[in-house]
Amino acid sequence: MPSVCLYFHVHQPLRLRHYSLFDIGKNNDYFDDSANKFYLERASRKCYLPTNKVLLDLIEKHGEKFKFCFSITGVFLDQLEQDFPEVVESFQKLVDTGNVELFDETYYHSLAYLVSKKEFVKQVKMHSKKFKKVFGVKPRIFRNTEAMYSNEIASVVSEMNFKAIVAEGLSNTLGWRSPNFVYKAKGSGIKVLLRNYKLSDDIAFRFSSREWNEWPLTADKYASWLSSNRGHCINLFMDYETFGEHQWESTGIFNFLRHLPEEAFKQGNLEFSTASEIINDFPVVGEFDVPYISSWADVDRDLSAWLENEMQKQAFNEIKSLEEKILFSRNSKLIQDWRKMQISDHFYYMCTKWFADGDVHKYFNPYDSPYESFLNYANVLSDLKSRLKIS
Amino acid sequence: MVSDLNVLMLGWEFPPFKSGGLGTYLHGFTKALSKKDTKITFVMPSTGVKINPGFIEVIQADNYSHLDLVEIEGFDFHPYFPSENYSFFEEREKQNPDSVNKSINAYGFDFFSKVRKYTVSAVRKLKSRQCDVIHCHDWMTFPAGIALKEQKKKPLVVTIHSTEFDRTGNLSPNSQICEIEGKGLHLADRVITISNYMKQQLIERYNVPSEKISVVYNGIDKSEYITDSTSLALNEKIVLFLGRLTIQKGPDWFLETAFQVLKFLPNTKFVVVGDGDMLPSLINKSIAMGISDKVVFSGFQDDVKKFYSVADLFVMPSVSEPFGLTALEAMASNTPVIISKQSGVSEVVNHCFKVDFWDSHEMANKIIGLLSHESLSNEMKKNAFSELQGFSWNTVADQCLEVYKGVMN
Repeated sequence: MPSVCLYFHVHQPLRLRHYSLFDIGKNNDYFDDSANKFYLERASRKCYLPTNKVLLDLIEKHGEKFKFCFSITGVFLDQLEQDFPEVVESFQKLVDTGNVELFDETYYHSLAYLVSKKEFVKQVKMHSKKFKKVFGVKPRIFRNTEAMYSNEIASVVSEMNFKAIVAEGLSNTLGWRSPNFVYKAKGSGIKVLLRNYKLSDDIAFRFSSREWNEWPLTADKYASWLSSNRGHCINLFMDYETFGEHQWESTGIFNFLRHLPEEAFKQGNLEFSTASEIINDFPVVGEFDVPYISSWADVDRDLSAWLENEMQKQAFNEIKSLEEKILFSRNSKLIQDWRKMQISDHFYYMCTKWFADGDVHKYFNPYDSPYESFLNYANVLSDLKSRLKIS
Repeated sequence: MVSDLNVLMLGWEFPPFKSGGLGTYLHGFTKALSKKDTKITFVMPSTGVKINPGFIEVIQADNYSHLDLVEIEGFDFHPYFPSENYSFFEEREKQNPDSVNKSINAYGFDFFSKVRKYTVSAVRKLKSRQCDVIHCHDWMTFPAGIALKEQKKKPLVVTIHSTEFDRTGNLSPNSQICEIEGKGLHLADRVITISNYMKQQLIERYNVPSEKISVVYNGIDKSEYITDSTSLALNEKIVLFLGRLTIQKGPDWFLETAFQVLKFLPNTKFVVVGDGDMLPSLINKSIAMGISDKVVFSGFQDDVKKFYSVADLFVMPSVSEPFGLTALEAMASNTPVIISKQSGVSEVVNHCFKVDFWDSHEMANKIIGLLSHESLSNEMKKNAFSELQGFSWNTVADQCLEVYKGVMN
């Protein structure tokens, strides 16, 4: 009887405002508060509030049979607390049911692991603290930004006492093996939960695609696919914004979600479990060995969406090189700004792979081009450096 | 086997006799078109370099074996300089005593008499020529095109490369020229524009029905440009402007931007390639701004390719640019590009910066960004070069052929 593990990732980018050369040294207000509030309001209205409502209704209807997992970034919670506290409350309500498991991640949805292990650990701890404060919960499972994963990352996460880590179900690593089992990381031995990308992307990417020969995807059809899967667990991991933002309400995504549990139960061999239940209930079947860093993004499933071209590398190397000096300054506002500049989205906007992997980048990119994005970022960094000299 | 399509092409310039982008366009376009089962007869004013007896000359020039070149005795006439100040040309005429023309006074009598002469001689000379379609480029050839359409009862296609509104920066369009432009647009069976930007202008200014207009973007032959960036071994970066020094091209905005940039990066040279009526005022302006040692006015240059290749950056701050072939030329020379948003080329290229022509602060922000961050300029020029793949004269020729076929049915 395979267990279905639903995990939703919640985050919104922190967009920089237009920051010109002429602002350097004069203005250290880097973020476009009004645009960020605008998008947050839209996402709350289209996705967070209605989807939370659907999930709460499902919990009320199915009781403890329906469970799922969340992770929510710290910067996102900060924004919500400031502008839309009612959305925080609606998440709290869900968590309070006891049917929801929370995963930890980096506070800033950042590339912190690539900055340094020290910085990574710090940001994870900040995130844990935030969850403790907002939800009163200490997570046992970890997901790194964009599911970035390697043996080494797994080992650092294991040292922090997490019981399992999320990774992409990479077919080149798995080979003939299925993602529908619990594995252990090579080296540290921490348990690894692998995303079933085929079934996850059927919802996240293909749901409304009319070119897809399975369109329209109905809950009963999807449940029958789940049911015919072999293995112990089916890990359906996706961005929470799939519901209502990436797939608009008009595509029928909410109805799909609303009916998915009952259709799954009709199959007779499916149940919903949290990640913790899965690692407790099922044995480790093999080792997962990823010597380089992988991710769940794009077609390449590596770091290339953030750190491929020269601009991305230069921008990242500069932010990384500031670590010691910034921390030494003990200027908390400066340190916070530096961390916000590690948010992965900034680097994603500089990606020049548009033509290869479709419009995904373009659609979510607030800039006209990756060059605009880089220049804006570089100007902010110049200001950050100038503040360092003063403090 | 279908017989060749017979095209009567009417233009005003052809390399090496050209003042701007139109000559380059007509060369690339006719060369590609000639490879597609067409026979092209090209009509243009004589170049003034070869003085030939007789009123009309037909040259089968070796270099242009792909077309019949019909030259009509010519005049040192430059329709792309719209301004009142023609002293500049008078200077040039002094250096070129062969030039027959004596007095070019703005849009005076002489100006239109050239067009009339071109029209009369073209119609007379081409009386016995067969053709399937007549294709005119810009207003100077419209009267001839209209007359030939009448004479031969064949469809007329006109391509607009720039309107009178563009050439005068929307400030003081000449009403007679507007009238000729409008007449040609309305009597043509089909209108081709080189961008949507231009198409929109024709709809708004001349009430041309949208469905009558086809957009065919410019092409470029990458192989003609120098791709390895030559360094002048100066410790100064070079920012290039290349175009006629007229209001349309925004050279004054280039100076405004230079002024801003020099505050931050004093080791920068601003090179202005091109001639035009604004030259004296631009020189004065650079002196008044105190940046005359940082701005080089090179005048008109026959070989612009070298300039593109030594530049660290190319800026096209046009106030109103129907297309902007120079942007593609710079991209083909592996030089990063900043273009004004008020241009046709900004609709179709992505790997460059786009700025409002009047926003000299933002322009400066981007120039300094490109000059200070090698990673930025490297990425941009690399991707821009690949992007040019989409702009071939072959595509232009195919799309125009489609238009011809459409009007012939």
